[in-house]
Amino acid sequence: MPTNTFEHLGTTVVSGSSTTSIVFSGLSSWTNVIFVGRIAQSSGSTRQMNVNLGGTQAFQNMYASGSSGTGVPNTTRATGAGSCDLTVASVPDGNGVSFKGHLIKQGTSRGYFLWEGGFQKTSSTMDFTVSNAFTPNNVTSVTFGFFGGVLTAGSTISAYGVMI
Amino acid sequence: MATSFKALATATLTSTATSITFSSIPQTYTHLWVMGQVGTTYTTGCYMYVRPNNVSTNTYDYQLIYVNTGGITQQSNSDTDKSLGLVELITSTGNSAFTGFEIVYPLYKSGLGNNVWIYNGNTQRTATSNDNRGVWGTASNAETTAITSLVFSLQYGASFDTGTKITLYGLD
Repeated sequence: MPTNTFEHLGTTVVSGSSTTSIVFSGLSSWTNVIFVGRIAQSSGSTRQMNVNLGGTQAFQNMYASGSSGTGVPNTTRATGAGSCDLTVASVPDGNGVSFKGHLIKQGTSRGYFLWEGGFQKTSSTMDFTVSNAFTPNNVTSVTFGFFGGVLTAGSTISAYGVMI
Repeated sequence: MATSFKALATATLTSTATSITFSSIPQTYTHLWVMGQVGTTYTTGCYMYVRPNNVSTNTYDYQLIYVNTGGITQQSNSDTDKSLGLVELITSTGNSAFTGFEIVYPLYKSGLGNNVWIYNGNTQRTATSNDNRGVWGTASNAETTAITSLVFSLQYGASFDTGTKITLYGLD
């Protein structure tokens, strides 16, 4: 049983160019886990960061893009077994995606994951995505996966365990 | 393993003020997190802004998703906002209508891409209604300087009300 109510579980900093996933395991003792990070991908026309929560029930996205006064929130709902892909977006070269994820799993039947992330789209615009997902209640590991490009050195994700 | 969510500074107003500044932010943490309750004496509503390093040039951009009585919508800032170097965060309705918010600054010490942060806030529109807002801010013109200070202010030069409280946390 953790002795602290808010504990740094670890920070992964990418040092090379071959990383395709970052995994945080040993999460079973915590009722909440918070993820904070910033990643960038240096190549590839379609770059995505997804979250695998180990068995998925449903997720939904809200997405904001475009210039002032245009565009509408985009909602997407998907269901199915297997991984839960919470796509942030493609990432332009050299620009980072910042995000915060909050895994809440003190429920008796299922957990919940809230994801907020955004990225600089061009030199003067950016996009923003909010996603939420139901998860199994007994999530013990979370995998961040990266597709379509290689991670830039310095990409970082931290995990914090919270007891409430 | 040590607890690693440390309150670095708290500003609690016992009188009104037009700005709140956190300066000399330690460069020893991985991420920053700000939480606060903000009120204003401005009676018709105004936005709250935050300037990392008090930069006021044409660098900031945001995307905003919010829900109010009219449903869900999306908004990004205007050229005017950018030229002011300001980031729209929340509206307040004045006189004890306090609103809560949080901002997360991942990797505030380095410029992996540009400075980008995550904002969540709740706006009390009237005595009986409110908005939920999520803002995504970025310094869009290669603003990669480490964040050493944060300056909070209000639109129209309005004042924060007595009782406003903002706390800055460092995360290992």
